[in-house]
Amino acid sequence: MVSDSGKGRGAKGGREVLIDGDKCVCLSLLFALFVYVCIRKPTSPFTHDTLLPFIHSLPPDLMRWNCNNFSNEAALFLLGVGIPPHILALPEQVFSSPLGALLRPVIEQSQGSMRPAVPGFHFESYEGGGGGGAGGGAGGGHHHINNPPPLVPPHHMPPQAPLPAVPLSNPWANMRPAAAAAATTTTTTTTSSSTTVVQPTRSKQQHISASIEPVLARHDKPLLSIDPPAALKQTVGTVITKLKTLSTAAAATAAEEGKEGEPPLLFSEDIALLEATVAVVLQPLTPLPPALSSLLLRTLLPPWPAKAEFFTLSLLRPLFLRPAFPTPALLDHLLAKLSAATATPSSLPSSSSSSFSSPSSVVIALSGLSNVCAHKAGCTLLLYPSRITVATDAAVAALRDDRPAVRQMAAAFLANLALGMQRGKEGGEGGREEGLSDVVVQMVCGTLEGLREDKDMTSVFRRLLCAGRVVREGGREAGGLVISLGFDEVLREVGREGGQGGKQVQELAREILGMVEE
Amino acid sequence: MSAPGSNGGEEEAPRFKVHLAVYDLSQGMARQLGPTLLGMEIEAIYHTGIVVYGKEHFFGGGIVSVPHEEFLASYHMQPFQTLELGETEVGEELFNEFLQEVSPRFTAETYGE
Repeated sequence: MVSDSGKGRGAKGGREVLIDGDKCVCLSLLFALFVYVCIRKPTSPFTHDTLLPFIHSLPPDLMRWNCNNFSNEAALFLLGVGIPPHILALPEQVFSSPLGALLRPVIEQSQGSMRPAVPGFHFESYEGGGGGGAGGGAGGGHHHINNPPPLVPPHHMPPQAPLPAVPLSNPWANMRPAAAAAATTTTTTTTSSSTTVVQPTRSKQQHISASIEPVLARHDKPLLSIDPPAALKQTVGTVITKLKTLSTAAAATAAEEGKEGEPPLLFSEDIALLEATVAVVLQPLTPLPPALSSLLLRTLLPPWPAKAEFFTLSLLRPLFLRPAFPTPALLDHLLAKLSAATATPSSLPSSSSSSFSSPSSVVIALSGLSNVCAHKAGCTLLLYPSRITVATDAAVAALRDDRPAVRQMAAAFLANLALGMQRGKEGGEGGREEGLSDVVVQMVCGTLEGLREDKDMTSVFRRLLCAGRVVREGGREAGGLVISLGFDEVLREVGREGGQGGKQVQELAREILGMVEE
Repeated sequence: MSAPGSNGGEEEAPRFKVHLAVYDLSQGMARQLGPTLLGMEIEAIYHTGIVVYGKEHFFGGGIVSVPHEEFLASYHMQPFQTLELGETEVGEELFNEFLQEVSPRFTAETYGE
């Protein structure tokens, strides 16, 4: 245990230790910043794949064992006083930001299961109210079945006591070195005697991959992005603070420009409404204030600054899991923006209010829309003919994005829509018209076209899920379509090679091929 | 920050100045990007080392003690702040014992399984 590899105390010259500085919370935070920059910049040389090794090289428990904690402990020993608290508080500070809260799961998830993930989007299969109206109010009931322990330090206290004996609720606690991050995650214990973190199985797919059941049948739940309660609370709190700050700032600017007559962005009742939201957000059975959705629609529109968009979307994402929350107006607005954002691929994000202001907004919006599929109420809204067409077109366009994060989320949304369509049909709603609808054709073509070029296996798998669901429902006609367009060849190839995504993708491709050829 | 040796040497208990060298691993990037990326002011991505007895003691995958000047030379970093934390009566030997004692908690190995 004691430094035996020359890296320990008094290492000769200490030169080789430079790299070991990576094992410092500082650098990992820097890394977190990088991830974000990468996602934002289409031209970035970094991709998720090149960054993953970095994530894996980070040690677990960085919050408690880093250079600053060491300095603090040494100072305490020498002088009886610690180092300035703001230095120790940096990790917490970063993770209290909305982005920080969003970034945590990606690191955790990548560490846990090698599955490339998107910041903040912790996908779980989730049985919400999707089975029928009965699930109505229980939207949040199952949120954290498979979820990791709370990710955010639930309070803002700077870590006063250095290295407390009690394990901190700490974002890094689940991180494991690369060697352990094999494809199958069961349970794992991390490090030090005082902290034992059992990591729950992260993905349902892996969990049941031992069974012989066909892949499609196993995946009969929508893909949802769900936050653990503590993270949710933190995100909501931060977002609301941000909105208030923006409003105050706008009022100050207006006053400076001598425009006192302007109405404020947030009226006092709006503030009360937002504060009421914080109180009920963790209580899935308590209805949200009805005016909340219209308020959040307002914050997406001018005169609110574009900055408000990211925050609002971060708030909408978890709220959409509640059956009563998504409103037609909100969905229409998001779909219209999504449409505009994906209409001109690879164009720089426009600052106009008709589109999303940044790629990360697109990702969160797609994730939020995926969450709408958690319940029947949301599915019904999305499957409304005018919406489903726009949604499918926009999501298919987003599959052509060069950022894996966008593709993953778009594919998840499509897979959820396909599931919603299938369930709607099972429910016997609306007699099916003869022939394949445009939406079905678009889904099949959109997900299978260019499948081989998509190197992101999460995205590929979700695309196949969507295609598989549609093909299964579409029967002979859908099969004919796949063959006539030559996609059976694509499936055959993916079924053979599968890419590094492995078995899951291969099996699913073969399964779809089997249906097509029937 | 330079070689804080003993001072006030005429007393029988020598006192040693303790400095905290604060580095910004992001080289200013955090300060620049913090507001945009995180919506908050971030002064720096801190790395710190305790400078005492003319040596810099820091943690980087293990506890390392090197002469302060050597640290600056080999890591090409300049502290953006050097805080004087105070003076200690603890001698170097005792401090080394302390390092020995805590090192199991601060080694790369504890990071493993």
